[in-house]
Amino acid sequence: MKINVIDCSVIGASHVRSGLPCQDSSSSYTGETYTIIAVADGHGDPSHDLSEIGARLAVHSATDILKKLADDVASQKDVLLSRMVRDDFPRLVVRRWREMVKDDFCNRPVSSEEEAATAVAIDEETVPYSRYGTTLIAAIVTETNVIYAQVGDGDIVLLREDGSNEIFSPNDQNLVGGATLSLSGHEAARRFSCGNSSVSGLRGLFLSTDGLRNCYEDDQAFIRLLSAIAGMVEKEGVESSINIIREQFVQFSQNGSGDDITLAAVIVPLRAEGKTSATKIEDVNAENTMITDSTEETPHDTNRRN
Amino acid sequence: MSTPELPNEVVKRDLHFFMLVDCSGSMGGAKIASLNHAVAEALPAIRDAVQGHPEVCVKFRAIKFSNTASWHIGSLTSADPIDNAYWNDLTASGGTETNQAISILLDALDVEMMPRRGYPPVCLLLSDGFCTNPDGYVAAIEKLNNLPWGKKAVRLAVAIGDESEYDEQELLRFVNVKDESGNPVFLKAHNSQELVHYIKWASVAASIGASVSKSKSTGGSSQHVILPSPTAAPISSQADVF
Repeated sequence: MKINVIDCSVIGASHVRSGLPCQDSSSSYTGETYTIIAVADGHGDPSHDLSEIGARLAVHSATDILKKLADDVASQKDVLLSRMVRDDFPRLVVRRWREMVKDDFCNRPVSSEEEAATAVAIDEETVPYSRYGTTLIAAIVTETNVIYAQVGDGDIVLLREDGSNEIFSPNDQNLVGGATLSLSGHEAARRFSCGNSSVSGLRGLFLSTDGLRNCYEDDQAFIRLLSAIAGMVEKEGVESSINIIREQFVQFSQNGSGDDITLAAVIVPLRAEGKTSATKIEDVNAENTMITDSTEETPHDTNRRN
Repeated sequence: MSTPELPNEVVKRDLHFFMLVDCSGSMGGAKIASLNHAVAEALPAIRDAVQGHPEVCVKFRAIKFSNTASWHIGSLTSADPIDNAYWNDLTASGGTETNQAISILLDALDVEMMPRRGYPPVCLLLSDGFCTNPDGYVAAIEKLNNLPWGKKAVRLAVAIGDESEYDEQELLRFVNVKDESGNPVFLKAHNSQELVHYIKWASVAASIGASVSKSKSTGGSSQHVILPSPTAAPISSQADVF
């Protein structure tokens, strides 16, 4: 199966205004028999002041753990991988993320004399994981399955060749107005949602932070955007499409959510000859706008496999 | 060669603003006149303030209460952008059924009625007296505190008139935000100038505070929005006191 992989982040309009960094991160990795994508949204509240680092470490942790699980079961059936993602991935990724956060915190320069004077030996109890708080969505696409895991807000969308779609979003009615589950939460491993779906008829798998979905009134408009992205990637190629997507996401943030926007996707070209994307891509002039690129820190951002 | 463009169906995110206005008999005279003037001035002030946040669409509604409570601007199912809001002056008479106003607010803050991806709503209570149904008031506040959007709302109050004429502790139950000094955002307007000033300040500060609120882990503190400390009202003569 020949696929295209994209991942990109843009800083939110409200972050630009208030001098905050982009607190989203994304990554992608393509192995011989599988592809991994991940997105993370560092919490923006001032109490999570190191969340942009937490988000970056989250996508790296997820990629590491999914690679390990996939390689461990390479000779076995995908059903086992699916079970391992459900049963083991949350615990393993939380542990890996906490190790990376602890390393980061231990190597962080002390910022004031007061901090130096009050510094204590760092152990599991004193690492301020919450300062690194972030959401995480990760997925692995094998030759037969799409397997995904999520803690916190953001969206997972599966588009099918026949035009149908499946959207997986957190549905906890208590989580409104910016409240979200977190990888830094005390029971984070127990708060993951995991699932799997067949790769048969897959047009695209999209993981996005809430800054993208929050630009849209309803799911239908959101799906039209993702369908258009799938068509654009197929028509324009990965590199050109990513540049266009970044430019337009900046505008979307300015006129929509105001938040950082991140998207990672695996897109499968339509199989039938002469078949065209359902969404027409119109040609217009695009403006250059400020962009931050999370892909520099990812294993790699594009690839293809047969 | 032109560049392809993605479909642009982007919409602003809603910020719902609810004003709960006491128009009981004790609000008569200078109080209600000042209040009408203050709210009429607050609407354009909010509009101007959020112009710097083009991704925000403030939708304004008002609930009036005396012997009963009802919608004054908007309704349970209809909330217009603040650009279209126009304040019709209220008149004062009757009791202070604050609990009924909060009951109407509870219906509007139900998860089925609110946009799931909206900003925390702003709820501003303006009152000069004791609730005539104190048990009902406590029960309504408890429901508000247990409602997801009630918890996330930016709730603040302006008390109007002499401090002996209202129950500060009762009104404080409504408030759930603090300023940067750690004080509940509970403003005391002793005269017309203070009332105009505080209603405008509270309306603008809460709207901006809600619109810049950021995501937060559920395990963190419940304080989700911190407002700046209120600015002082213009000094007025003793004769202006309500």
